[in-house]
Amino acid sequence: MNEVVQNLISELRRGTLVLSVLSQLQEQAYGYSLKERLAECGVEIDQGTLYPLLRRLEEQGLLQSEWSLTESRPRRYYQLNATGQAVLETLTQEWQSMVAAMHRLLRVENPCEGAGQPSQAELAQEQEEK
Amino acid sequence: MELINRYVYQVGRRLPERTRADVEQELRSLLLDALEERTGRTADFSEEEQIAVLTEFGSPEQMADKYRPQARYIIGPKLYDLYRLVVTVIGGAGLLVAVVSTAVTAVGPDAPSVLSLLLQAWTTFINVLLSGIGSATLIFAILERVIPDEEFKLDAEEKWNPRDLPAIEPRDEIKRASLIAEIVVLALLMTALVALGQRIGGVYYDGTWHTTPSFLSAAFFSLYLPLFVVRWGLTILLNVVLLRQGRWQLGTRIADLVFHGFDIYILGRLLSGPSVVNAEALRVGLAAAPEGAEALIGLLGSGLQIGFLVALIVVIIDFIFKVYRLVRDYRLWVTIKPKPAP
Repeated sequence: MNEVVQNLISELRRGTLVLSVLSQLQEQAYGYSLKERLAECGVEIDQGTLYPLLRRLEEQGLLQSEWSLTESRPRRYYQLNATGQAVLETLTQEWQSMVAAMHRLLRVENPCEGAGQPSQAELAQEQEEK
Repeated sequence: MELINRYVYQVGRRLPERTRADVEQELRSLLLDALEERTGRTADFSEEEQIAVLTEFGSPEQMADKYRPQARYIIGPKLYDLYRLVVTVIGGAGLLVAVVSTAVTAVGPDAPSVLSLLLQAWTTFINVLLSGIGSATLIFAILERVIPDEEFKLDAEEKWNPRDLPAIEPRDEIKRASLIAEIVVLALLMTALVALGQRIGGVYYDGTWHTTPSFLSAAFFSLYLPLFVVRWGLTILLNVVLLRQGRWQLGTRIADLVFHGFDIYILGRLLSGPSVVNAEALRVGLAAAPEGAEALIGLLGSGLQIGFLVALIVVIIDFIFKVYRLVRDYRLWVTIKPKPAP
């Protein structure tokens, strides 16, 4: 049972990885600093997943990268480009709409009633207050 | 740093050449960042520290799988290494079958012309190669879809231990022992052929013992031997420079490439020019069995032609590969530009 739950949680988190990463690349960051930044915000990503993901996003034309040779060792810095910025905005809107939908779905009573509208329980509460 | 270097090498060798050097450089930088964060030092990492970080990163196979371009596979990453090995074996087997079957035809009573033999060798090779690779691809494609991924993942995770990483065979590193051995062998060969080549013959008995003229033709000494001497001399010179420099550099790589171009020229001359075998010496030596002598002359002629042709194909492929690598490496060197720290 625990293993099933763990797999489902992993799957759920996997879906949020790209948005998490894009959200933190409005400023330049290299691999390890990005991992730390995400961890500080409560998003833990395996290094073996994060670093190849950065390259994939770059190949998809969402990020730009540059080598910096001015530090103690060469480091590759990633940042959103214009396309990536537009994609981030679209994904953010989509995410917010999904969160709202999930919020409605997870209500105990009448989950799908009046999408985007207050639930019957909320309306009843409003009536009472009046 | 030994384990880090081995890890990066093992990931890199599983990646397409186009991205290999870049991913290797980035991966090394990321591993060092992780080590620095974990230890608070920038160097002198212990084996245990390296193992801890490498274990976090995952096995080289898993890491390489994630770095590979996303594509729809006929043969996916989990079976790719095994598939490549099988295809290589099929290639070798195809070559062997082609050479053996052609040699058998060549010694038969109705041996065809050299051109027919070459054509037979080529078509046999291609037939074996295509049918072998086709069958292997079909079987692997089925296995790819039948065997569940979990079995491979569990297998890789259980076996992964950074201590088991194989040693590196870097492209720029030289192998001193083989360079020295090559110098010695080539020097001895040159000396032997120049000093004693005219005496490489046989003996025969017709009541008293006689020696035959050299089995090597006059053309060999006048046309080919000077070319061999120059070529081997250049190799010896290159090896001496490499031993002094300690590693391959751009200059030595270009020189090696030019020398390989010279090989193509020599093999072309050998294929198109007169034979290196002195047929008359063989006829004298085997005067008691003239039919056998003619068969042997024919076999030697065909065998050498096939050998030179195969060598020419191998050298041309190797030459193209070397040119490609040189150009690719050179482009890589000029595209990494310093930028100010953010």
